[in-house]
Amino acid sequence: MLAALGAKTAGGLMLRPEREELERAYRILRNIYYALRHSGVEFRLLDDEPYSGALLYELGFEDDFAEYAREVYRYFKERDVKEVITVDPHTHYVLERVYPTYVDGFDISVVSYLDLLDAGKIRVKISGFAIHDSCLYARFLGRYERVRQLLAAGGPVENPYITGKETAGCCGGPVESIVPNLAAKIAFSRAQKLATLSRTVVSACPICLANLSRTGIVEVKDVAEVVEL
Amino acid sequence: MSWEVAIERAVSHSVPNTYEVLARYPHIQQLAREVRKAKEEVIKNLDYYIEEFRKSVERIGGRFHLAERGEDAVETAAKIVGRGKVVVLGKNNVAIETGLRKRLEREGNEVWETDLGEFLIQIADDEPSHIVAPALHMTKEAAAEVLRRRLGMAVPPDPVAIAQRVREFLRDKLLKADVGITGANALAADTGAVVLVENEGNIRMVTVLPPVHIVYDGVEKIVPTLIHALYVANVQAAYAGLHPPTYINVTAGPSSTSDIEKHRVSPAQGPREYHVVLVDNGRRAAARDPVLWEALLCIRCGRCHLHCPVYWALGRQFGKPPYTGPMGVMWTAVTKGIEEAGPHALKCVHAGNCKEVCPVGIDIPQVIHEVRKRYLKNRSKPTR
Repeated sequence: MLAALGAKTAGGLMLRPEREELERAYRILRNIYYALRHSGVEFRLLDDEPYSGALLYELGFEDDFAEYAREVYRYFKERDVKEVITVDPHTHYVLERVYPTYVDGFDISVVSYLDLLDAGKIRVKISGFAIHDSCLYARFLGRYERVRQLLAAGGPVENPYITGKETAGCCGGPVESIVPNLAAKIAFSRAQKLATLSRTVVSACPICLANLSRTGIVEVKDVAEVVEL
Repeated sequence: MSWEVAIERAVSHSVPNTYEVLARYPHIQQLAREVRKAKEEVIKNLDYYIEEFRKSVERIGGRFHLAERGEDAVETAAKIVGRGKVVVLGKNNVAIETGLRKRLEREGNEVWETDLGEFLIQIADDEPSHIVAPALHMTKEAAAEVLRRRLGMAVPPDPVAIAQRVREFLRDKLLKADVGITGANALAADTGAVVLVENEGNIRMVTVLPPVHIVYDGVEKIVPTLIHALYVANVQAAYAGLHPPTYINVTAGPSSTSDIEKHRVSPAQGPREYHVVLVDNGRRAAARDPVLWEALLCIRCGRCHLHCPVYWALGRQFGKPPYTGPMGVMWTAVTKGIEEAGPHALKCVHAGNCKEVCPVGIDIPQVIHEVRKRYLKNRSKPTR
């Protein structure tokens, strides 16, 4: 089962993404689909996939999230889902790290697509870009090195004080819906720093992609747009 | 000059320095683990260690005062100080937390901050922006301007010149002072000693020159032994990027001498009185809280601020001074409650850098998330 949250959040947290953004999100998802297939992974897609509820949790609405998470779990169980492949860090974090606390008996294993790609077969289509890490992937889910492994052939430009695991900044996305001015300020400052390394930035998170793109300072690409198998 | 310029300069100076210090002195990380263990032990048995510390302070000839609320602490200190005195302060966040300086001034005392950053904040009638560097938001240009405007000091926007000019001004106050008040980096339960780490030399003078020394800080500063207290000083300095610190001060009681017949008498050259005012103000309740307790592990190095994208953007608007930045949101919750801390917790982007760089491994994002959660839960309760 492929979690399509990416498509749902690719337009930032807007309810109706622009047609162009929507098409781009679907393109990214198709790329992930084929990259997984070419890596020999077998999986199926749900026709109608539920949102993970990550936003409810991140905003702190605990009771609403707990109720929602139990619904999602029931939905998965009714369809005999045993394992979920995630394509974005927020879904991954909430399913793997948070659901077990709120959903009794949660027994679905959660795998990131980043871990399933065959790094030996990967071709990176661009070079000289900077990596903007998703906070969750880099500092909560242990994927800082994995993202670099997948992108190594493109020779990303690194600076220990801009793209270091402990020093890199956030895109501001998580506070977009509460304090939009703060989100914009954080995104602007992050984009400015990244731009000192390269005007092209690669990210593995749809929220980072949307938030940093909006600054107009850097061109942001999703990992799935720049790798090929 | 804007906050953006000030924070950019501070980060570019401090962050590389800290990495360099930690690479040069790798044993510090081991000490940091020991500090966490020692502080965990105290937090789990806080009342026991407060009592042990009290007994030790009294054994060495000091006077111990425990204040449940901030107001009580301020009144206790005001009573010890009295009226019409010259009082010199070492940088002390709990003094700011409880409003100590203004209270002493109301009694007709002449009160001076002696830490350069805090002195600038005092004369500007401003609020601190960082737990270690209170005037972080002031560029050198702004600092020179404040000295000119408030004290008529003509000084160029040069940190060396500013430090020299303020030193001249404060030296006179330090020599005249009746009472010196400091905080504590750590308090040793086994000996009643206070350990203070600094670079300016002001704390050393504040603890030694006036005839009365008051230690004024939170109960969570207690560690089991003097050795642990020295570990805290080393770790704090290193993670603030300032290791070795120029001074580590240990004070265990009033000054004394046993030079005549080996009979120990007090005072000698230093203070004749040693008081410790310990402040609770939410700390003991936090120690019993299943999530908030972790905040009490904080050793106030201020490193989390310099790695936090929200602090970079907002400065002291993230948290309530003196408790700003990631640690500040937790500490606003400890000392002022969820209602005050909640709006700041909502600004957290959960970037996680703070947790990565914390010397004692506090899960700061989780604590802030909990504050946010409780704040929203309180607000969603129906009102009558």
